[in-house]
Order: sequence, then C-alpha cells, then structure tokens
Amino acid sequence: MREHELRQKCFDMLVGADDGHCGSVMSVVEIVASIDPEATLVISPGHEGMSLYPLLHERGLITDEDIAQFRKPGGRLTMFPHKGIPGVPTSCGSLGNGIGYACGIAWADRSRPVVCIISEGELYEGVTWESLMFARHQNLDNLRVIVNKNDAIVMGKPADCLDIPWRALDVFPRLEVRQTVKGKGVPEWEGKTESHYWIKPQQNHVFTLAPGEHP
Amino acid sequence: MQQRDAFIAEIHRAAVRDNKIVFLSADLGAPALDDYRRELPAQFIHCGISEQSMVNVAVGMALAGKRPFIYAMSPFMLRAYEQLKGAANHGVPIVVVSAGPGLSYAGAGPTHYANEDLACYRTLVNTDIYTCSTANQAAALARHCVRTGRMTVARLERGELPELYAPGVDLYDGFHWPESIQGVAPWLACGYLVHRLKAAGKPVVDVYQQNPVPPALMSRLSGLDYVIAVEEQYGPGGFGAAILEALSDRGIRTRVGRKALPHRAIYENGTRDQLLESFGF
Repeated sequence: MREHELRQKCFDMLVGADDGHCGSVMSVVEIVASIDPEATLVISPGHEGMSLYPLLHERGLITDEDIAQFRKPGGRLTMFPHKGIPGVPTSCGSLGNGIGYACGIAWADRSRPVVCIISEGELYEGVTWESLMFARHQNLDNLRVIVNKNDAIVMGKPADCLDIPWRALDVFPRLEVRQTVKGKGVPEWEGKTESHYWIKPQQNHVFTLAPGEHP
Repeated sequence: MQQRDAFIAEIHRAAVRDNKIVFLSADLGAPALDDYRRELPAQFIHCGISEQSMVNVAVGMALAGKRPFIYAMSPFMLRAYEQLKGAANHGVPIVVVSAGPGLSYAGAGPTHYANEDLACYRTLVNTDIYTCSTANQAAALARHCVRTGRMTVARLERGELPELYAPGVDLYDGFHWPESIQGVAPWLACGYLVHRLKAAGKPVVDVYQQNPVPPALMSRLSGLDYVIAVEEQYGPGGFGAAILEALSDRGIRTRVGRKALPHRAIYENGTRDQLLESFGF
C-alpha cells in the first residue's frame, strides 16, 4: 500500500473515531508503508500502531466492518493494537517494551526478517537501551530497528529536556533514524506537539501522490 | 542441594531433549546453571543486569514458539512487574524463576527483600504461582513447568534446607497435609516457614501452590473451625489473603488467623531467623 493511500485510510479512521494519537500516526505512516510485507513488523509505540490496520485489511486479516467499528463499542480494533487482533504480532502500548519483543522473535528464528519501529520518545525508557544492547550482543542481523524521529514529545521537543544521545545509536548497525513530520498532511496537526492527542480537523482531506511517487 | 540447582538440573535434562527450551539469566548464577551453560550454550542467554528487557525478550521468544525460563533474584524480578503484566496478557508460557523471596537476603536491607511479590504476582492473569520448601519439590515443580507450558512463577528459597519429600515426588494437589494432622487447627505456610514451623512443633500444612489456591485444600479446610496462615510477606494481598479469599468465594466460614511481616520498611540487621523471631514468628 502506498504512503498516500495509507495516510488517507488512517485519517479516515481517526476522523471516524473522532479520537486518536493523530500526530504520531500521520508521522509513522511513511515508515510503515515502506516495510517489506514479508517481515514481522512490531510497532513499539502502540499509539502509532493503528497504522497497521489498513495493511491487515488489505491482506484480508480484518474486515470492512472491523475498520468501520474502529474504537467503537463492540468493535475489535482498539487504539493500541494487541495480540488478539489477527495479524498483530504483539501487544504494544507501554513504551519501550516492543523492541524487546522484537528481539525475542528475531532470536528465536534468525531466518525470519523482523522490523521494529520505535519512537524517539521511547529512547527515554531505560528498557529500550537494555534491549538495543541485547540485539547488539546477540548479533541479531535479522532485526532492523527504525527510530521514528519527529522532534516532538508530549510536552514539547526532546531537546528541551534530556538531550537524546543520538550518536550513541551509531553502535547499533541495523538501526536507522528516519526523520518524519508530526501530523504530516493535516494543517491542524502538522508539526504540532499537541497533536499527540486528538485535535478535530476543520475539514476533510484527500491525500494525493507525493512528489516522486508514481501510480 | 539448593532448590535452584535442583530446579535448573531438571530444566537442563528437559532442554537436552527439547531445543525449544531457553534459559535466560539476569546476571544470576548457580552451580547447576554452569553445567547447563557448558552443555547447552545455544539454549542459554546471559541477559546482563536487565530484568525488564529479559522479560520482553522472553515474550518475543515464546510468541515465536520457544519455552523461555527467566531467572533473577526475587527482589529484582519485581522491577520488571510491568513487563510481567505484559507477558501475562500475551498468555505466553514463560516460567519466572524467582530466587530468594521474602527475607531470604536477610541483613541486606529492604532493597533486597521481596515481601510483596506474592501479592503482585497473584493479580496477574494466566499465571500460576508456586513457592518451594525443598529441593525435591523444586525439581518436581520444574518437571511440572516443562509439562504444562503455562506462565508460572517459581519462587525458590536460598540455601540448603532439610528435605521433606522423596526424590521424584510429584506436586499432587498443590499442598501436603501430613496424615498426623487431624483434629487440630492446621498452620498453613510455604517455603522457608514450613521448616521453621515444623521445628517449633506446629501442625504445618505445606501449601506450595499459591495460585490458584488448591481446590482440594478448600475441601479439607471446610470442615474446620479455625486455621492459621503464616507468611513471610506483607499481609495485604499475600498468602493469608489468598486463603481468605478462596474460602470466602466458596462460602466456607472457616475462620483464618493470619501472621505476616510488619507492614513497614525492614531496616533491622540480623539473620533470617533473628528477624523472624523479632517479628514474633
């Protein structure tokens, strides 16, 4: 699924639910859209995890009805995806834990490609570093870690509090930092830290192909 | 033999036959673990001092079909409680080998005591809890864990304790009620306290399975007026509370006397027995 299409579907689900971590979801979409569908994808910041639902729908693992009932009473798709939903590998939502799950999955079968998306906010969680050290120590070549860096945490910018030691990440060979934009594509959300929580957009949006994308 | 060595030796035997078994340690050793590591290096991981990550890694392994056993000191396993909650919610067959509950590390101070872990573990979903009083019982528990594949907390005492059970003993109903105890109020306990109460001549029932509270035990208690539950834990949510709740849930009116640690930080120096003595055990 192309990025603009995934972005549109996530936007529609958020608006339909009238709730969600809109800024983070629209930020991670471009990373999620770029992941090889054959890989096991763990989205450790669970508040970004709903970006997986349109992909699961495309694969036939969840239904139109599931998508329509996102976040609604009786529906089975929660804001934070969990193990009980077909195609979701792990329950994430408590920050910092997903990378450890991904390490365990990758260790158990080194022929299985595993991708774990973590957020820059999770770099404040000590357990994230514990698991990154584990990945390095165990030479988990089949685990790719992507840090979604959008320069925003709930109360402002990371640089305003403890400055994240980005250079320390250089020691992890299969880790890449991807610069994204919080709330990308929606004026009320884009670049705004407050879009970590729900802000109702004033109008509907149609997301079109980005420059360089081809139909 | 210490309980941890009996337990790990049993896991070692099973792991030789089943390469899905993986043993993870957060920087805690044991002589039996040295043997395991030597023979099965591909099924052992030294996770470093990182209990929280160890739990999460074990969850991932279990989701991918492995059978992880995670091993740490009881007080520090508790720092991964939130991760253990995640493990329990995933419904994966992780075995938490918790070494040194209660005041096992007596004299080390409150950071090294695990006086509230039983209460914490009792609230986890999908999780069985056992506390062993002897090495043969610990070996039986290890065999049980391999067989059942359920998330289980195995609370193992430190040091060598007198053996009360025959080699190859099974876990049976989750408690051991000596035939000699008839017509008197039994003292219910587990782990180290079983020995202390026996030494004091008390009619002690070893309730090594704490969660779920053994249903057969409830049947035995239903005909009694009074029982005494003794625990090396804080009272709220602990062993005595488990007995009380189980009785109440079944409408059994047997009265329960409870003895637990004082509900405060324990700063006093002393051996385990000296501390227990000072607390009126």
